[in-house]
Amino acid sequence: MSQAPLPNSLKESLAGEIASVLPGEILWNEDAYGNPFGWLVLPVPSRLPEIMKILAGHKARLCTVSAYAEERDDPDKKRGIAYHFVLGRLLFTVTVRLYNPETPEELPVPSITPWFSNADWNEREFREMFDIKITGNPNPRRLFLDERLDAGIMNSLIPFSAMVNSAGSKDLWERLMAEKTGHLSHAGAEQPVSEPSFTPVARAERNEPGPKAREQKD
Amino acid sequence: MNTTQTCEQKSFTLPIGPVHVALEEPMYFRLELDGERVRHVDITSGHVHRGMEALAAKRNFFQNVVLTERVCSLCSNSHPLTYCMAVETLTGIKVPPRAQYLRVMAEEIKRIASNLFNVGIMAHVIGYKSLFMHVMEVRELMQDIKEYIFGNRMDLAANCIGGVKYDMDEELREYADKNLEQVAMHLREIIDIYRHDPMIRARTQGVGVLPVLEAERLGLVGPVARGSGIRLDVRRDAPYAAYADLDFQVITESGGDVHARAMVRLREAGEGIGIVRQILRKLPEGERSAPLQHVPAGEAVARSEAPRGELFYYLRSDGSDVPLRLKWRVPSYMNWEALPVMMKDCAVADVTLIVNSIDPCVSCTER
Amino acid sequence: MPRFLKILARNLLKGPSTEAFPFKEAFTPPRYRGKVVMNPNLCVGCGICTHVCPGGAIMMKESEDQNGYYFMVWHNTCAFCGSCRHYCPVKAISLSQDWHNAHYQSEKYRMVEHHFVPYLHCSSCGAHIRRLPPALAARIYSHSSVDPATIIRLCPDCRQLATAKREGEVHESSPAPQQP
Repeated sequence: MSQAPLPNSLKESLAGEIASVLPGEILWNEDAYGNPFGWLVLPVPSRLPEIMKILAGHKARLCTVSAYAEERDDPDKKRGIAYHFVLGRLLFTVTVRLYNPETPEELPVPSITPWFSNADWNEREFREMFDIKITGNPNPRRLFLDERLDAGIMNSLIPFSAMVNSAGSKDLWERLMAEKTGHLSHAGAEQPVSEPSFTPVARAERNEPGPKAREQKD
Repeated sequence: MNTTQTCEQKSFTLPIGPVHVALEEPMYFRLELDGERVRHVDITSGHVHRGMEALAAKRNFFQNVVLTERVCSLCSNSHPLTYCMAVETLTGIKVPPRAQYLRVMAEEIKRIASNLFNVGIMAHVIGYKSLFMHVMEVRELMQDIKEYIFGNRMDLAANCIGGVKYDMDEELREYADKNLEQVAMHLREIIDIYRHDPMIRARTQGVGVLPVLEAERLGLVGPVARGSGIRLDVRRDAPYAAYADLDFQVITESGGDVHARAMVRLREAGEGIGIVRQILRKLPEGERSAPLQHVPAGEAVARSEAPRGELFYYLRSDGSDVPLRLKWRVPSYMNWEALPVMMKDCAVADVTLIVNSIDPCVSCTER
Repeated sequence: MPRFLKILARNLLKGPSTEAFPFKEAFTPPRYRGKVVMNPNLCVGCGICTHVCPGGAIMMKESEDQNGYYFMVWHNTCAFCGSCRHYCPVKAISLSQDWHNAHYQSEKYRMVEHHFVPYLHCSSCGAHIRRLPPALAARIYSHSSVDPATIIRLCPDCRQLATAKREGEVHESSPAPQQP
């Protein structure tokens, strides 16, 4: 583990073994310091075990797993998972696309814990944060999110600062201007702008009133 | 492993945490005990999950430099550094040599302070309060350096995309040199105490042992892996910034216990002092940052050696000025899984000591 | 233990390490990153500071009468990262050594750095123009044949006109310098 094989011979043997099970190109590039990166894209998640077998054979270390959505506006569609491995100096990324033009349903991902046991936390994380289906994970419990919250709930949340109308909001700047110039800066706002207030999501759904203390904040 | 049923007198469940196990961060441990021995450990996390990765996809590339610096306080400099490296790799920006050296200097100053902090807390957990206070006072010299050169005790704000925001001059060089000499003198004494003091050795040697095979199976990195004799160090394995030009040792210990991990951190602080001194001597002249460029669509990865081990960043861009996805993985993320291995059959009294020995960072893990 | 007793004795002789604040002024290093300060005489209103500010703590907005713009930093969302200072092309923004940020909740909206930067009027056509500090004008227009002191009083359109006129005169080899 201490002495990595030469990147070139490693590149060749990796590429050769992967080509024997999967047609397609591996993209190679490097950073400004000459550290090499390899990028492989898998058409379907079911091919993952074959590649994992090869990487485990090379004594790769699983660095982490990044789930992502290709489109900013639609976090539930066109998603993929990037598995990052370290082989000495080389950082090798295997990307799996979960969408397919033929099937409307998102494809489930096989667990890679049989080859890389530290994949457990990563798989549990993308399962609860992205609601990606996973098969064969030996420990399918929540990692960070509470059991009572839906998987993928983070996609529907907005930043707290936006929710309470604080940092950088129009309302805030109007208050600051009013304090400084003695009047509100835009026409038609004779009454002072109200203190930012909000009702927590869960309470709003249950139609419960917010705490009284909110009204007399300051 | 279900001992609770068989002998009610001796077996019970002990909750530890989630508040202030060793450091002031929340993590909940559920221990199954057999008398005084820990038989099973169950970890519950998520108390400080802040959704920072989602936030990063709503901030532009400049704003994320500062956002990532707020992931964690002790390795605050490693986050923006690695993030900037990912952006620079994707964009093809070449960072000027002076900035490369200044980046390493900020990293190593943070590493020295971070390692001293963890080792100091270890003395605190043991109950050796006077040693704890002494180590913290030595660390204060590093805090002074940070405040004097960068303007803040924790968040250095050293990095920007393409280079660094700060610069050195003769006065700062002399100040850093003077303080480092003090730290080096104290560090020699501290290493001697940690190595030989019978009280420290009795409490830490042979405690929380992590076998090499387990460390490799769990993909561990940083001082935790190096304490078990695994020579993994991104600074040496995949050199970045100016590390290829600098002279330093990758520190390993063979014990794999709490003591070995503390010794790795202390000796690495010594190496850090050596690196900063080399930079103070041979800092090249020139620009502090490269001109800005448009960040194209595509993906990039970067990794660096933070005080706790390998830090990894993944960036995905759609060509706009806000990243499509920014994901990072901190060294603590894997280290948690090492705790059940280290705590197997340990005494209850050693639990907090073992937790501290992985130098845990919860806000880093959960983001 | 005897090893540590030596250190203990030394630390005892050294006395307390803590500072006497608030009874004595605490040492603040010269490069300390404290409250943001802006010099309205240098600001060109480019707005890069509002773009790079991570917390959205900086606001720039034109006044209703369109005679200038407001610049405002709310110290309570400022992260003291110094990005505004780093990216400011004219060094109008700096970070002071002032770290005294404690205040009553009722005073929170007064924790601001606030300026009104008036527009100039083009000396040729009277249009509103943003201020261009002389040092920056000298740098940008170092190759221009028109005097920077003239240029900073002109709007971009009149600047082009003046330059074209001056270039024409140079080509006609008329050496007379143009004064407004």
